[in-house]
Amino acid sequence: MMAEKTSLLGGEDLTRNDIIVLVAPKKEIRDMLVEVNKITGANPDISFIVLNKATLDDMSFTRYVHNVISQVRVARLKGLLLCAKEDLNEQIREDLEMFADLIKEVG
Amino acid sequence: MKMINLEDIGNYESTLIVEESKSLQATINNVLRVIQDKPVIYIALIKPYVSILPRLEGDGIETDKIFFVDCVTEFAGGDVSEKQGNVIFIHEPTDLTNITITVTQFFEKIPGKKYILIDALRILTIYNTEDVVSRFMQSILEKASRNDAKVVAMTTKGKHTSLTNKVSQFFEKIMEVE
Repeated sequence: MMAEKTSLLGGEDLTRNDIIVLVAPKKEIRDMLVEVNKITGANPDISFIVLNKATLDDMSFTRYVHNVISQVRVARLKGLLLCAKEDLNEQIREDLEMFADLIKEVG
Repeated sequence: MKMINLEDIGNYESTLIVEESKSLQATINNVLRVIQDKPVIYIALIKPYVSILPRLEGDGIETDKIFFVDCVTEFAGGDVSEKQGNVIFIHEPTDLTNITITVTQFFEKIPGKKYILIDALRILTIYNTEDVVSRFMQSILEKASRNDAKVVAMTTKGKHTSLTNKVSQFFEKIMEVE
Protein backbone atom coordinates (compact mmCIF):
# COMPACT_ATOMS: atom_id res chain seq x y z
CA MET A 1 0.00 0.00 0.00
CA MET A 2 2.72 2.47 0.96
CA ALA A 3 4.78 1.54 -2.10
CA GLU A 4 1.80 2.55 -4.20
CA LYS A 5 1.58 5.89 -2.39
CA THR A 6 5.29 6.56 -2.85
CA SER A 7 5.01 6.02 -6.58
CA LEU A 8 2.49 8.88 -6.65
CA LEU A 9 5.16 11.33 -5.52
CA GLY A 10 7.96 10.59 -7.92
CA GLY A 11 8.89 10.84 -11.55
CA GLU A 12 7.30 13.36 -13.85
CA ASP A 13 5.22 15.06 -11.17
CA LEU A 14 8.35 16.46 -9.55
CA THR A 15 9.95 17.29 -12.88
CA ARG A 16 7.01 19.17 -14.30
CA ASN A 17 5.68 20.92 -11.21
CA ASP A 18 7.36 23.28 -8.76
CA ILE A 19 4.69 23.10 -6.06
CA ILE A 20 2.87 19.87 -5.29
CA VAL A 21 0.34 19.59 -2.48
CA LEU A 22 -0.30 16.10 -1.15
CA VAL A 23 -3.63 15.68 0.60
CA ALA A 24 -3.90 12.73 2.97
CA PRO A 25 -6.34 11.69 5.72
CA LYS A 26 -5.09 12.79 9.16
CA LYS A 27 -4.63 9.22 10.37
CA GLU A 28 -2.20 8.57 7.50
CA ILE A 29 -0.16 11.76 7.79
CA ARG A 30 2.47 10.09 9.99
CA ASP A 31 3.05 7.34 7.40
CA MET A 32 3.17 9.91 4.62
CA LEU A 33 5.75 11.98 6.53
CA VAL A 34 8.13 9.04 6.48
CA GLU A 35 7.58 8.34 2.80
CA VAL A 36 7.88 11.95 1.68
CA ASN A 37 11.00 12.41 3.81
CA LYS A 38 12.66 9.61 1.86
CA ILE A 39 12.14 11.58 -1.34
CA THR A 40 12.96 15.06 -0.11
CA GLY A 41 15.86 13.90 2.09
CA ALA A 42 17.68 12.77 -1.02
CA ASN A 43 17.07 16.04 -2.86
CA PRO A 44 18.05 19.36 -1.23
CA ASP A 45 16.23 21.32 -3.95
CA ILE A 46 12.88 20.05 -2.70
CA SER A 47 11.45 21.78 0.32
CA PHE A 48 9.11 19.62 2.42
CA ILE A 49 6.49 21.42 4.46
CA VAL A 50 3.59 20.13 6.51
CA LEU A 51 0.62 22.50 6.35
CA ASN A 52 -1.04 22.37 9.74
CA LYS A 53 -4.25 24.36 10.11
CA ALA A 54 -4.36 23.79 13.88
CA THR A 55 -6.40 26.64 15.39
CA LEU A 56 -6.15 28.98 12.40
CA ASP A 57 -9.41 30.19 10.89
CA ASP A 58 -9.97 29.50 7.18
CA MET A 59 -8.76 32.88 5.90
CA SER A 60 -5.65 32.90 8.11
CA PHE A 61 -4.81 29.37 6.93
CA THR A 62 -5.25 30.43 3.29
CA ARG A 63 -2.94 33.44 3.82
CA TYR A 64 -0.40 31.17 5.55
CA VAL A 65 -0.46 28.65 2.68
CA HIS A 66 -0.10 31.40 0.07
CA ASN A 67 2.84 32.85 1.97
CA VAL A 68 4.58 29.48 2.40
CA ILE A 69 4.17 28.56 -1.28
CA SER A 70 5.35 32.02 -2.33
CA GLN A 71 8.48 31.67 -0.16
CA VAL A 72 9.34 28.37 -1.85
CA ARG A 73 8.82 29.90 -5.30
CA VAL A 74 10.86 33.00 -4.49
CA ALA A 75 13.72 30.77 -3.28
CA ARG A 76 13.50 28.95 -6.65
CA LEU A 77 13.01 25.63 -4.93
CA LYS A 78 10.49 22.90 -5.49
CA GLY A 79 7.93 22.37 -2.75
CA LEU A 80 6.25 19.24 -1.54
CA LEU A 81 3.50 20.21 0.89
CA LEU A 82 1.54 17.74 2.97
CA CYS A 83 -1.92 18.68 4.11
CA ALA A 84 -4.62 16.85 6.09
CA LYS A 85 -7.76 16.21 4.10
CA GLU A 86 -9.88 17.15 7.13
CA ASP A 87 -8.36 20.67 7.14
CA LEU A 88 -9.72 21.44 3.69
CA ASN A 89 -13.15 22.75 2.86
CA GLU A 90 -14.32 23.56 -0.67
CA GLN A 91 -13.00 27.14 -0.65
CA ILE A 92 -9.58 26.27 0.79
CA ARG A 93 -9.21 23.48 -1.75
CA GLU A 94 -10.05 25.90 -4.59
CA ASP A 95 -7.49 28.37 -3.31
CA LEU A 96 -4.89 25.59 -3.08
CA GLU A 97 -5.60 24.71 -6.70
CA MET A 98 -4.83 28.31 -7.62
CA PHE A 99 -1.59 28.49 -5.59
CA ALA A 100 -0.11 25.06 -6.39
CA ASP A 101 0.89 23.46 -9.67
CA LEU A 102 -0.51 20.07 -8.72
CA ILE A 103 -2.72 18.64 -5.98
CA LYS A 104 -2.61 14.91 -5.32
CA GLU A 105 -4.90 12.90 -3.09
CA VAL A 106 -2.80 10.24 -1.39
CA GLY A 107 -3.39 7.60 1.23
CA MET B 1 -15.23 21.54 -19.10
CA LYS B 2 -16.08 24.41 -21.46
CA MET B 3 -13.37 26.87 -22.43
CA ILE B 4 -13.97 30.61 -22.50
CA ASN B 5 -13.74 32.18 -25.96
CA LEU B 6 -11.15 34.92 -25.51
CA GLU B 7 -10.78 36.00 -29.13
CA ASP B 8 -13.03 39.08 -28.84
CA ILE B 9 -11.53 40.29 -25.56
CA GLY B 10 -10.01 43.28 -27.36
CA ASN B 11 -13.50 44.55 -28.23
CA TYR B 12 -14.23 45.48 -24.62
CA GLU B 13 -12.82 48.28 -22.45
CA SER B 14 -12.98 46.04 -19.39
CA THR B 15 -13.49 42.32 -18.97
CA LEU B 16 -13.95 40.21 -15.84
CA ILE B 17 -13.10 36.56 -16.40
CA VAL B 18 -14.51 34.09 -13.87
CA GLU B 19 -12.64 30.80 -14.19
CA GLU B 20 -12.16 27.51 -12.38
CA SER B 21 -9.16 27.89 -10.05
CA LYS B 22 -7.30 24.92 -11.54
CA SER B 23 -7.63 26.37 -15.07
CA LEU B 24 -6.75 29.93 -14.11
CA GLN B 25 -3.08 29.89 -15.13
CA ALA B 26 -3.88 28.34 -18.52
CA THR B 27 -6.53 31.00 -19.12
CA ILE B 28 -4.14 33.80 -18.11
CA ASN B 29 -1.64 32.49 -20.68
CA ASN B 30 -4.39 32.32 -23.31
CA VAL B 31 -5.40 35.92 -22.55
CA LEU B 32 -1.78 37.05 -22.90
CA ARG B 33 -1.52 35.19 -26.19
CA VAL B 34 -4.53 37.16 -27.52
CA ILE B 35 -3.41 40.61 -26.27
CA GLN B 36 0.37 40.30 -26.58
CA ASP B 37 0.62 42.65 -29.57
CA LYS B 38 -0.01 45.55 -27.11
CA PRO B 39 1.94 46.40 -23.93
CA VAL B 40 0.52 44.66 -20.85
CA ILE B 41 0.75 45.79 -17.23
CA TYR B 42 0.53 42.46 -15.38
CA ILE B 43 -0.48 42.77 -11.71
CA ALA B 44 0.91 39.50 -10.33
CA LEU B 45 -0.80 38.37 -7.14
CA ILE B 46 -0.68 34.56 -7.29
CA LYS B 47 3.00 33.92 -8.04
CA PRO B 48 6.23 35.92 -7.96
CA TYR B 49 7.75 37.30 -11.16
CA VAL B 50 10.55 34.68 -11.08
CA SER B 51 7.97 31.89 -11.34
CA ILE B 52 5.76 33.54 -13.93
CA LEU B 53 8.39 34.59 -16.46
CA PRO B 54 9.86 31.14 -17.33
CA ARG B 55 6.38 29.65 -17.60
CA LEU B 56 5.24 32.35 -20.03
CA GLU B 57 8.39 32.05 -22.11
CA GLY B 58 8.08 28.26 -22.09
CA ASP B 59 4.55 28.68 -23.37
CA GLY B 60 5.78 30.78 -26.31
CA ILE B 61 4.43 34.11 -25.03
CA GLU B 62 6.39 37.27 -25.89
CA THR B 63 7.35 38.92 -22.61
CA ASP B 64 9.21 41.98 -23.92
CA LYS B 65 6.10 44.14 -23.67
CA ILE B 66 4.87 42.83 -20.34
CA PHE B 67 5.44 45.14 -17.36
CA PHE B 68 5.05 43.31 -14.05
CA VAL B 69 3.68 44.71 -10.81
CA ASP B 70 4.89 41.91 -8.51
CA CYS B 71 2.90 41.84 -5.26
CA VAL B 72 4.37 38.54 -4.04
CA THR B 73 8.20 38.54 -4.03
CA GLU B 74 8.92 41.11 -1.32
CA PHE B 75 6.08 39.87 0.87
CA ALA B 76 7.56 36.34 0.64
CA GLY B 77 11.02 37.54 1.66
CA GLY B 78 12.56 37.63 -1.80
CA ASP B 79 15.43 39.91 -2.79
CA VAL B 80 14.10 43.04 -4.47
CA SER B 81 17.24 45.15 -4.10
CA GLU B 82 18.40 44.70 -7.68
CA LYS B 83 16.54 46.06 -10.68
CA GLN B 84 15.11 43.11 -12.62
CA GLY B 85 13.68 43.53 -16.11
CA ASN B 86 10.28 45.20 -16.48
CA VAL B 87 9.18 44.65 -12.92
CA ILE B 88 8.29 46.78 -9.92
CA PHE B 89 7.90 45.08 -6.55
CA ILE B 90 5.06 45.93 -4.18
CA HIS B 91 5.67 45.51 -0.46
CA GLU B 92 2.61 43.31 0.15
CA PRO B 93 -0.83 42.59 -1.34
CA THR B 94 -2.49 44.89 1.21
CA ASP B 95 -0.66 47.87 -0.26
CA LEU B 96 -3.34 48.75 -2.81
CA THR B 97 -2.35 52.42 -2.84
CA ASN B 98 1.14 51.52 -3.99
CA ILE B 99 -0.24 49.16 -6.64
CA THR B 100 -2.36 52.03 -8.00
CA ILE B 101 0.62 54.43 -7.95
CA THR B 102 2.79 51.87 -9.79
CA VAL B 103 0.11 51.29 -12.43
CA THR B 104 -0.12 55.06 -12.91
CA GLN B 105 3.68 55.23 -13.35
CA PHE B 106 3.46 52.55 -16.04
CA PHE B 107 0.67 54.55 -17.74
CA GLU B 108 3.06 57.50 -17.98
CA LYS B 109 5.87 55.28 -19.23
CA ILE B 110 3.84 53.43 -21.88
CA PRO B 111 2.23 55.64 -24.54
CA GLY B 112 -0.71 54.45 -26.68
CA LYS B 113 -3.05 51.52 -26.27
CA LYS B 114 -2.26 49.00 -23.57
CA TYR B 115 -3.79 46.42 -21.27
CA ILE B 116 -3.86 45.85 -17.53
CA LEU B 117 -4.11 42.21 -16.47
CA ILE B 118 -4.97 41.39 -12.84
CA ASP B 119 -4.26 37.72 -12.29
CA ALA B 120 -6.57 37.05 -9.38
CA LEU B 121 -8.99 39.34 -7.57
CA ARG B 122 -9.55 36.43 -5.17
CA ILE B 123 -6.02 36.92 -3.79
CA LEU B 124 -6.78 40.55 -2.98
CA THR B 125 -9.76 39.46 -0.89
CA ILE B 126 -7.53 37.14 1.15
CA TYR B 127 -5.57 40.19 2.32
CA ASN B 128 -8.19 42.97 2.13
CA THR B 129 -11.90 43.40 2.75
CA GLU B 130 -14.22 43.05 -0.24
CA ASP B 131 -15.26 46.71 0.01
CA VAL B 132 -11.62 47.83 -0.20
CA VAL B 133 -11.00 45.54 -3.19
CA SER B 134 -14.15 46.83 -4.85
CA ARG B 135 -13.02 50.48 -4.43
CA PHE B 136 -9.54 49.57 -5.70
CA MET B 137 -11.01 47.92 -8.78
CA GLN B 138 -13.21 50.93 -9.47
CA SER B 139 -10.19 53.24 -9.16
CA ILE B 140 -8.09 51.13 -11.56
CA LEU B 141 -10.91 51.06 -14.11
CA GLU B 142 -11.34 54.85 -13.94
CA LYS B 143 -7.61 55.45 -14.37
CA ALA B 144 -7.46 52.93 -17.21
CA SER B 145 -10.23 54.62 -19.16
CA ARG B 146 -8.39 57.96 -18.91
CA ASN B 147 -5.10 56.41 -20.06
CA ASP B 148 -6.06 54.39 -23.15
CA ALA B 149 -5.82 51.09 -21.26
CA LYS B 150 -8.16 48.13 -21.36
CA VAL B 151 -8.58 46.03 -18.23
CA VAL B 152 -8.76 42.25 -17.97
CA ALA B 153 -9.31 41.01 -14.42
CA MET B 154 -9.36 37.35 -13.49
CA THR B 155 -11.11 35.78 -10.58
CA THR B 156 -12.02 32.26 -9.57
CA LYS B 157 -15.41 30.67 -9.26
CA GLY B 158 -16.19 29.49 -5.78
CA LYS B 159 -18.05 30.50 -2.68
CA HIS B 160 -16.79 34.09 -2.64
CA THR B 161 -19.38 35.18 -5.21
CA SER B 162 -20.19 38.37 -3.30
CA LEU B 163 -16.99 40.01 -4.59
CA THR B 164 -17.85 39.03 -8.16
CA ASN B 165 -21.32 40.51 -7.65
CA LYS B 166 -19.85 43.73 -6.20
CA VAL B 167 -17.32 44.37 -8.94
CA SER B 168 -19.15 42.94 -11.97
CA GLN B 169 -21.19 46.16 -12.31
CA PHE B 170 -17.96 48.05 -13.13
CA PHE B 171 -17.01 45.82 -16.08
CA GLU B 172 -18.27 46.05 -19.64
CA LYS B 173 -18.06 42.30 -20.21
CA ILE B 174 -18.22 39.28 -17.88
CA MET B 175 -16.88 35.99 -19.24
CA GLU B 176 -17.63 32.95 -17.13
CA VAL B 177 -16.97 29.25 -17.48
CA GLU B 178 -20.37 27.53 -17.59
